[in-house]
Amino acid sequence: MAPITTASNEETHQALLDTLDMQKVEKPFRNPNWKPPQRRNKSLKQILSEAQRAQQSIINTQQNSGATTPQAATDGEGGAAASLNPNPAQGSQDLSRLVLEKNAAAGVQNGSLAVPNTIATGPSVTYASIQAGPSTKKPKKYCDITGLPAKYTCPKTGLHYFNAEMYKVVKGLSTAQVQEYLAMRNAHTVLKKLKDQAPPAVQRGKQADQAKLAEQTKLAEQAELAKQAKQAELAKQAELAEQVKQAEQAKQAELAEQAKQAEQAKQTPQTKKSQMLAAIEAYPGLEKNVFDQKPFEERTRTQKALNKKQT
Amino acid sequence: MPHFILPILPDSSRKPPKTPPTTTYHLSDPPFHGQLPTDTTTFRHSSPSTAIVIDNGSSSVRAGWHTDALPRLQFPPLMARYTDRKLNRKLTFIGSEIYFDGTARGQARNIYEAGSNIVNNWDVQEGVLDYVFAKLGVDGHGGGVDRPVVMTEPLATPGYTRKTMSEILFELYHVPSAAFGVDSLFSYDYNKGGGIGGRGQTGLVVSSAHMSTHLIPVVDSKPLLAHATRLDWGRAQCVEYLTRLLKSKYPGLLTSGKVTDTQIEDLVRGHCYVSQDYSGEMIKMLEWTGLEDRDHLVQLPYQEKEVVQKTAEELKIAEERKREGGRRLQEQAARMRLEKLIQKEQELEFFKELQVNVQNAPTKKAAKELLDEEEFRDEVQLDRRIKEMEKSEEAAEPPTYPLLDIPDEDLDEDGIRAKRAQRLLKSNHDARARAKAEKESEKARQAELQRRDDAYRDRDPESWVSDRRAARLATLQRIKDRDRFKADLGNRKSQASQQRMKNIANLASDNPLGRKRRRGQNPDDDGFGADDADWAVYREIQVGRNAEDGEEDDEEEDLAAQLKAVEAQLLKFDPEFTEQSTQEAQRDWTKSLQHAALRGPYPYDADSARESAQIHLNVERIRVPEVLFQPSIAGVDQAGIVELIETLLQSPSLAAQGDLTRDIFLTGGYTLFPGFGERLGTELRAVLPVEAAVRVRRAGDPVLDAWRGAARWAEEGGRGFVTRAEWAEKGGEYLWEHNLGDAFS
Repeated sequence: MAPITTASNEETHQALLDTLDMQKVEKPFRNPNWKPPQRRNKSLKQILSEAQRAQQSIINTQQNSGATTPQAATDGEGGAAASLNPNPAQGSQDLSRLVLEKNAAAGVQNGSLAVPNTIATGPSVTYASIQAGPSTKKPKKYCDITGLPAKYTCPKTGLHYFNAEMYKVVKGLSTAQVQEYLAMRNAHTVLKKLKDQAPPAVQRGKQADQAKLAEQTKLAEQAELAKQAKQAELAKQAELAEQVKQAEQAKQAELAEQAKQAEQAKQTPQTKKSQMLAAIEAYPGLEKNVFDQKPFEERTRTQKALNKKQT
Repeated sequence: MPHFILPILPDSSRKPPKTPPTTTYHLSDPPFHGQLPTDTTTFRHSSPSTAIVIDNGSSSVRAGWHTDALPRLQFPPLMARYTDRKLNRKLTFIGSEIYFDGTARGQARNIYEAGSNIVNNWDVQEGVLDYVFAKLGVDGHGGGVDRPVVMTEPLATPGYTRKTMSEILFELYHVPSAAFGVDSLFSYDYNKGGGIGGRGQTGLVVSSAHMSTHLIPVVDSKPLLAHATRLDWGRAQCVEYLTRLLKSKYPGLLTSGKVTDTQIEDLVRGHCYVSQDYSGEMIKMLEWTGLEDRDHLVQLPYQEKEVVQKTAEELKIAEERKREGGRRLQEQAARMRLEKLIQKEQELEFFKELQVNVQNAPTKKAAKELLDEEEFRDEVQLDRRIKEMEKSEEAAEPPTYPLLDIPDEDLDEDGIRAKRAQRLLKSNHDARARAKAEKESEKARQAELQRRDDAYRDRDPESWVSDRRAARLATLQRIKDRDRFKADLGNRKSQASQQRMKNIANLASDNPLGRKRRRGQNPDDDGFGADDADWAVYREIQVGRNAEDGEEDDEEEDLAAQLKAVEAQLLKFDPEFTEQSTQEAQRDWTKSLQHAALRGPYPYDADSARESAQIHLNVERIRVPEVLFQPSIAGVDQAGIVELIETLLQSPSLAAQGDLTRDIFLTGGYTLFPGFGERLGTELRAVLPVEAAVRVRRAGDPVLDAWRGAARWAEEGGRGFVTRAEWAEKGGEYLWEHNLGDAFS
């Protein structure tokens, strides 16, 4: 224990430590019976993906039950994708809903809402949706070494530099140093394992379809289990955390059922997605990125690239 | 088109170094402010409706009663909880109290996940709330915390976070009711500027805080959350960015853990400012004139190397001791020599006596026994031994080589051996003499050359000068070529590299296919080595010898020396060649941009511990806060704040656009950077239509007004509290929406 002030010695430091310690301070205002839920510390990424999944499932339930009027999914994150009915015959039924959703989605993008001056904005304001989009302006270049405005870019390393003297410096840098400089403006090379990259939904469907015939039976069993579990839990009205787990199981079920037969899946709401997956494979013309649930930033980037291509 | 204008190149004259800086900055101590007081009186006198207001910020938590004028508790949202091995008990420290102890500092955890404004570590959050309630003197007699709680939260808090927070408040602390609101809206409400025509106020809230920057348009006191935007950049990111900048600027200086995040944060707070014209100011930042004012020198702690200076007396004593030691050694050697001599003499005497004894022995057998005792075979051997010993006692004569002239046939075996030794000695001697002579002649040759050169110079000074200049240029060219060659070796595809590989392959192969191999000669001998240049091959294939290794290439040294000699001559005899034109002057550090960035306008001595523990902040001072205006600088793929406001104001559905720019309200710690408001105003003026009125104002206290606003909101009996019953019935994410709060999502 390193005391900060040179004036304090071992003894006074110990006394200070004792006075500051909050562990032994009585906390009568705490509920002694309270136990924190397990694994409550979640990263932002986890929280967001779970929120998104929950939203998705709400939309799906509403759509399939027929009990409620279709509600505009305005989260703008994939509501349109979820509403696509793979069966062309039933497609017309979804039309009204599609329109609703499209309007709502456009509303979020343009900021126009039916009642703009109220705060009843519904689920449109989410953590992900208020994130600022990328710039449409060309970024200015600044010297990576000094920060001065830069005219030149080293063709070998990709570093911007100010003048000939800085070029000499750039040439003398080791690869690690170059990467360090590039990392400061997020332009460094990131090596990723293929495993870590989650394949997009469509690919996942294909994989399940093509290979893993051996796994089919196993997955089917899992699907059955999942269905049972789901029914039981619905009856119990379990907590959200459990719902999340269940959603994951349901996903596995989707894959399995899709691999097995699309028909079995018809009755349960959570297999809707697998139907659509099948549909997408049947109609290769359908946009793939309808299913891409990339984070906002990435989506906008691809959108930017698309726009560029068109122009 | 480049977005900047380069100044005219500075003149090549050597600049005078500046005097050492008058103000040196130092790193701050850990911000330990002592123990925060516990005050129970306010709690005892408070009514059950007195609310506890907590601004749950990421840079610091501010808490107090809503009746207070200022939050009575302010501390960083940190907790250190660990088990002390020595005391064998758990210790918990909260807030700035962790800074008093090194271990506690190391164990500190933040409420927030690094880089986001969402509460992530609930154990720490609990600790922080415990701390708040304990310090506010809540005694728990009414069952838990029997006061309503008002808390701030970031805009668009995920449902999970609010749910967990409500759960903690209602379940763990048993609060009767709780309300959540957005900090920047509280701050805006507190700084009411008065609405237009009796309605609420309208304006654009720019909240640039510790973890993120939010833009929230407010019309008639109602926030239009659908239009709100978040830019993921705040002062915490600035701290991280500056750390990375300094780490690559001064490698190894920050890695030793000498500098903590709080210290870097103080650097950001104390030295950075928002530039009014970034590109223009940046380009002038490292210019020589006025650099001493722009350059801020920060001295890190260092340890001066101890140089022991000996006095003359001490030196004398050391010398004396050394001499004494030498003398003693000599004496010892002499004594040993003497002892040996005496021993030898005694031995000789003994052997002589033995010889006499043997000769006088009565029988042959007795003589043999005597000899055997001393391990001699016969008398002859004894005789030879005695002769040898007698000979060695004679003094050594000066080296002559008498045997060399006698032919081998006339010598016996020993003679031949001695002759060989003598020949060796003689050739050594001769070689030394030859070398001496050669040296002399070389000296003479040099003198002759010098004389001739002088004569040439006297005869025709102009052509002499031009010759010298050509020689200087040639040397420079050679240096350049070698540097290029070295650089080329780094590239595998370069010709230099390929030639090198060829050479290696050639040298390693069993039957080398050298160019010099001629027919008719010994097939094993390809003539390699006959030419001195052949050996350069080994120099060429040797790479990986860096200039930093300290030992320079021999040739490198040679070239540099040559250059220096030529330049010295030119300096002496060429009137046009001045001190400024020497290579050294042109490479002078005062002209180096890198030196200006790294060391400011001061000379640098790498051996000085003090100077190598210095940080110079110059470009960083404006580079770091600029990221909010140009996030691409730090690789953030989001639009800058001005572009975001521009886009926001242009959205057709947004009501009262004109009124929004009339009141651009700045709050949050980032807006404390000098020049922030002015810069934002100027840039907005440039991009907005002419008729738009732009007025930028800053909160009275950009840091604390959020808390004050929340306190006032609580005082006014803000409708927005969720009661325990409602929470129990409607679920953890339930929220009464109000004008200063978030929307339910």
